[in-house]
Amino acid sequence: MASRKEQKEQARAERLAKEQELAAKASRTRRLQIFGGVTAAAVIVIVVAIVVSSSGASNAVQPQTAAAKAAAKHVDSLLAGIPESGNTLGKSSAPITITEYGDLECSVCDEFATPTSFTNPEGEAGTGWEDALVSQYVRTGKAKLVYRSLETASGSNPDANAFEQQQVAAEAAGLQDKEWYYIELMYNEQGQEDTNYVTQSYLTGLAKQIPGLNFTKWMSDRSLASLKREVNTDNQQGSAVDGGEGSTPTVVVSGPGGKSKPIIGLPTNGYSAYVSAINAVE
Amino acid sequence: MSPPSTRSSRPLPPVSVDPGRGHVGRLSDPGVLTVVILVIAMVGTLEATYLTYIHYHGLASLPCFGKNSGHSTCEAVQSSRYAKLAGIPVALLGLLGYITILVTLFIRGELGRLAGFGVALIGFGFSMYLTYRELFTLKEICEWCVASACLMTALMVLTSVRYLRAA
Repeated sequence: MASRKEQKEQARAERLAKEQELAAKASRTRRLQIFGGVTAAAVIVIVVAIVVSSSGASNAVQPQTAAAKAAAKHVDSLLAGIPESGNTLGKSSAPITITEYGDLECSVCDEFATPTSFTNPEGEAGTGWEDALVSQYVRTGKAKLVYRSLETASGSNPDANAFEQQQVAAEAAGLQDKEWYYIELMYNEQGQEDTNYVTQSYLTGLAKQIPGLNFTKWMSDRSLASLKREVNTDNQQGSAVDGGEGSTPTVVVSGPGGKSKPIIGLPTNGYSAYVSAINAVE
Repeated sequence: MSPPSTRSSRPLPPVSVDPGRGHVGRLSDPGVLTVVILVIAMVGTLEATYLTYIHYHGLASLPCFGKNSGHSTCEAVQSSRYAKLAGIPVALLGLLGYITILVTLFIRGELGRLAGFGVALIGFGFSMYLTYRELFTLKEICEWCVASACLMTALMVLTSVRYLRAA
């Protein structure tokens, strides 16, 4: 039998062990509470960061601003005096046909279409290649430019209808032989990819910048089913041409003898790629 | 062999990894877990430093496996609107995050472990959001960003284990 002293020591040890166990439990609980608190605080920071990131501006050029007027002036001088018919820029008798499959929201198409002095919302400078093709080949009657729709960047627009609406808006201008004016304006006044800047006011703002466009007719033509079908047909055709890669601008240079050369995306050897293709199909 | 620095009263030696002993000079709690966190955070710091440098000196030189429309998918992601948060490049924010995690490894006690976990959790959460944007909004993948997201995920798991294990 244990002595009284031993019993007391045993009871004391048990009490101490119990106290330690309670203290450890309290400590664990406290640590878990702090852990939960830090997790909650971190989640709040993450949510705020996501909200800030998601609500960024689209940087699209607003109508009537100096930038919009400068873009319209550039397009004016680029296209002045060149005949237009529907989606074709240049003389219909021109022996070379340069077909551009493009997406009006695509920033790479924008690089292709804008002058070197231009920088798009993504911070990329224009190449001036399309301007050079217009000046050297279209204006001189050697080639005509044809525009067709191919969806690429618009797929990232939160507004799923943006692609059809913007491409149809350009085609509706084409019914008044001003499609290329609309195309060039949009490339020169593009907003940032993957933002939903292609609103009704943006599209109508572009149309109002086109000299001589019958705005009422343009508004009415935008609801034509035939234009929507044309956009879809172009899109399917473009996918076949670029092998389903979804690359814009995809440019096909075709000659009078039936020869054709596709150039997918921006060529690494620059403008000379287009010149070589034209020379090869002549 | 020098004893663990936490028990030393002598001037502390510079930070150095001794694989044979498995401890680190001035780290707050020497151990394999802390060393692994240190190594991952250092790799992340190097990557984020490179991406920050590239951001300010030209994205075109960024090596990338992905190609789309004649441009690299990494360039597309890095130049997208999601590459900045309130005007600050996310690569720079990532760099600050990795450095902060490194610093917390040298803060003794619960505060350091907790701060490391908090920063890693924020980095993980925001990395997941950016990965979502890559996959479903931009539909372009930047391998550098995915690598950083993986590093942040590992750091979040390891720092949480480090904190909870110390209980």
